Amino acid sequence: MRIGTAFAHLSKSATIMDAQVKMYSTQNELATGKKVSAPSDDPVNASQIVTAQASVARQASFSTNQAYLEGELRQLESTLGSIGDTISTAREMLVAAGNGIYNDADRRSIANNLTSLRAQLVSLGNTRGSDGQYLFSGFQSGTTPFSQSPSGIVYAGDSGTRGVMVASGLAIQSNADGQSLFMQIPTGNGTFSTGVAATNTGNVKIDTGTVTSTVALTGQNYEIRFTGPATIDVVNTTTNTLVKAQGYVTGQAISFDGMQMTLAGTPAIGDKFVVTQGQTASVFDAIDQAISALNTAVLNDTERAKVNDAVRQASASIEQAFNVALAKRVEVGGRMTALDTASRVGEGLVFENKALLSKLQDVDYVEAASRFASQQTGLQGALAAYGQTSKMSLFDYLR
Amino acid sequence: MSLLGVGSSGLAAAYAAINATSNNIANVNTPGYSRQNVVQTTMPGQFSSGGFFGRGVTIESVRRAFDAQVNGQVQFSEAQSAEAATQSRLMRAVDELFATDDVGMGNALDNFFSSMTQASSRPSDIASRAAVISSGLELASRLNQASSQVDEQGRNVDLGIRATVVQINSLAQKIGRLNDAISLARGSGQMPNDLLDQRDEVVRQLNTQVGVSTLEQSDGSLNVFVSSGAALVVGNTPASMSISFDPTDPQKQLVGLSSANGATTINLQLSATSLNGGALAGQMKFRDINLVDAKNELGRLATAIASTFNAIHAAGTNMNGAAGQALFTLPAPVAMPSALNTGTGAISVSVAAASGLKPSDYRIDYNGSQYTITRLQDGTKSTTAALPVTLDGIAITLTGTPAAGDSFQLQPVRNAAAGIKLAFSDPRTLAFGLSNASGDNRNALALAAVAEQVTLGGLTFSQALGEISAKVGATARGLETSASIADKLLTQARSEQSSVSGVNLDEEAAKLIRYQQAYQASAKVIATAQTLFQTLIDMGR
Repeated sequence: MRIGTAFAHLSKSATIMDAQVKMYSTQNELATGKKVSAPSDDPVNASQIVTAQASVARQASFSTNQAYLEGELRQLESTLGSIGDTISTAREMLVAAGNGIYNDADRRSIANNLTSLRAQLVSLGNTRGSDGQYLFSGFQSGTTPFSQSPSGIVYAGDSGTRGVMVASGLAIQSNADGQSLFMQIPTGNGTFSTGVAATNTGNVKIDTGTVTSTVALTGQNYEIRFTGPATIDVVNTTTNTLVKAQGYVTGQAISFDGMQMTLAGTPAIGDKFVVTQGQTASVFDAIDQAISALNTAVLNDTERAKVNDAVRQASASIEQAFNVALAKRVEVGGRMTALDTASRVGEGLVFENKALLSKLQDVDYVEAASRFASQQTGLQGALAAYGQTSKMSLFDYLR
Repeated sequence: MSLLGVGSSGLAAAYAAINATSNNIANVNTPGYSRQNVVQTTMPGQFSSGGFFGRGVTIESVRRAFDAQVNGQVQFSEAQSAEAATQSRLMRAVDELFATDDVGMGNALDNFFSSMTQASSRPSDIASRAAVISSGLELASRLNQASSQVDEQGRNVDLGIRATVVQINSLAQKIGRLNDAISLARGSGQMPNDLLDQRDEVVRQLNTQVGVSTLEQSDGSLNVFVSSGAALVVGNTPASMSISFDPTDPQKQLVGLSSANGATTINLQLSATSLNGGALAGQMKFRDINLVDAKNELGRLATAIASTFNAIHAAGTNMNGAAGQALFTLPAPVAMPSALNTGTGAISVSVAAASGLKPSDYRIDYNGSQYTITRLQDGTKSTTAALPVTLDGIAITLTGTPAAGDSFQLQPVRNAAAGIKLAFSDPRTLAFGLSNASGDNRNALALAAVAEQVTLGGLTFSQALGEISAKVGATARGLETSASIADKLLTQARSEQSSVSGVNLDEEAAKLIRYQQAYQASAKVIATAQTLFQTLIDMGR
């Protein structure tokens, strides 16, 4: 084996350059803190790096959305709380109005209070979110949802539910629709409502009634008619059939088709009471009805019975409105819980993906530093060897 | 024969050897130089009654230390190493394109999805919509840039190929001239060592440009062939390589080899796969395989992004109450008839289903009765008797009548990444609702959900980009590995060659001493002869 002098120099300098290249790349890793910059640095994990980065970025956008949604939901919840309080106040006033001691002036004062509560409700219904969009107008978020018209308060929004994407495949509703909140309140006790006919001349009053059997409910409308001072007919006005004919005792409950209600007072023959099912009304109309009844001067028992009945009906509707607002608030609370879960799951995902990215991309400083040291030793060795061997020449010894 | 004659023959031999040694020392760093030795033999003895008396030494020849097999190994390794190193070096730029840093394509894609997701929460907020527009512009321009960087790389490689071809031609001419000189010199009966070394060196240089095989002729000249039997040099006649353009794809630069065979000229097309080694093979493989793959992968991604978003966007209503228009525009897929076609047939291509697209070009060949459609990426062929046909997510339609032998080149997605643009810049034109209500964000949610939507071959866009990165990374890494292996083999071959042919200065120093001493001794012989002669003369006095 012969070592060609020129080749020996070349291969020794190539060794040194190799060692320098390796050291440079380690140095680069140490300086940037990354062991992977281009896919070829780690082709096996290149795809995972891209998807983990995408996932981190995705979670970041979800997290922005979560913060936004949290603000919206907090505002929604507090607004619904105020709405509940306002309706509750109105309900208490109406309960007070049923007090027999109140005179016309007292009732008018309650009516005035109700008027201002009604205005307050309208203003709460027109609450805007942090971005100036109405909370209760569905997709029509730029349109004032509740406004006064000749026929009362009208709703200009729709029932659109705006979802906010807070996780992959999970959009949580950020708004609430004003239609179901204020405009479609079930009347009466929530299933059926009762009322005194305007033509009645007796002073019999009817209560709001209760449901005794949900399976027996027909969803149809009825009339209770006095056929004599102590006899009544119950007629189904939807099918126009007689349900039952029975005796009347004041204060005694009457039951039919899953419903029960109580009539009390002195009837006039021909007096009628209507029972309707599945009707809805606006809370504003109910309040308007109460206001107008309370503003009516009462001269006799017949009128008193009618006014009281109107107040009772309004009161029942407002009770239902309160329930609706409460249910909405509970539902919003549920959304907040879902949001909280989504954000915690998201944080977990971000943590996992960041840990994965760090594992795949980041330099292990201890390992890299020791690699650098050993490469340094290698280079020093190569340099020393080159220096030593290249000095050796037979020519030096031939004198 | 006299003592003087013996002495002076020794003197001449030693002088010649010192001369050869000095020449070795002088050429210690000359590339391709082979160590030379003086071959000396004894002169036949002179018969006398006392037997044969030696008549001194004679110089037979000067021989270079050379091993044809070792030399062949070096030549071959040079070609392999140059190809691998070239392709690997070029591939690094493509690899960098897919770097996973904060200016990468993945980042642009993520930002686009993020802005879409955030804007979906507040569909009427113009600032959020504007963020979608700007990140959409960014995504499109990142794809444009990536594609144009690939194009730029392609143009550079084409320039590189031209330079390589010029160099190959000049080396071929050199070999022709050296062949001439060598066959002339061989007439003398002695080996023209330095010319042979020079020619071997030129062949070695040629191998770094294009892998060649050689065949030595009886007159000493060397015939040189590229790929399977295409002659580059025959005797003293070099062929020449030239650049032309593909008749079906005028953008594509071809390399041809034209050699004179008697009066006729033979033109041969060289393809990346037919070449065996050398920078030219590396350049052509990179350009025809790696670059095309990269562009088609990017193009497929861009096409799928555009068609997925466009379909959803078109279902929506924008802030002006109008139906959503396309969100992204793409350049039309390319279908080119060959310049050699004789029929009137024209092919057009459109994307039928983005999810089925393949990152490939296609070629259609018509043989008079049926069309053969070849997917160029993997060579998969399918035949059809009539067009239109839908294949791999593209619809291929025909107008006019093709003639037998006509061919067409299809590039359904190749230019998509280069030409993808956001279709509009007015944030109000984003169709976020299914109605024109300002708070309707249903379509925006659908657009934001594209991030999770499985589109390309069962992958989301991020996963598809990851897959492309992994492919590019694996290719780049593979090329790096083969370049490093080829380099090691080359070093090994060179080391072996250096062991056979290289000059070792210590050895030459020793030889110098040896021949110097021989010279001195021969001089002493002459001096002795003179003394003897003087003795005789003195005797007669």
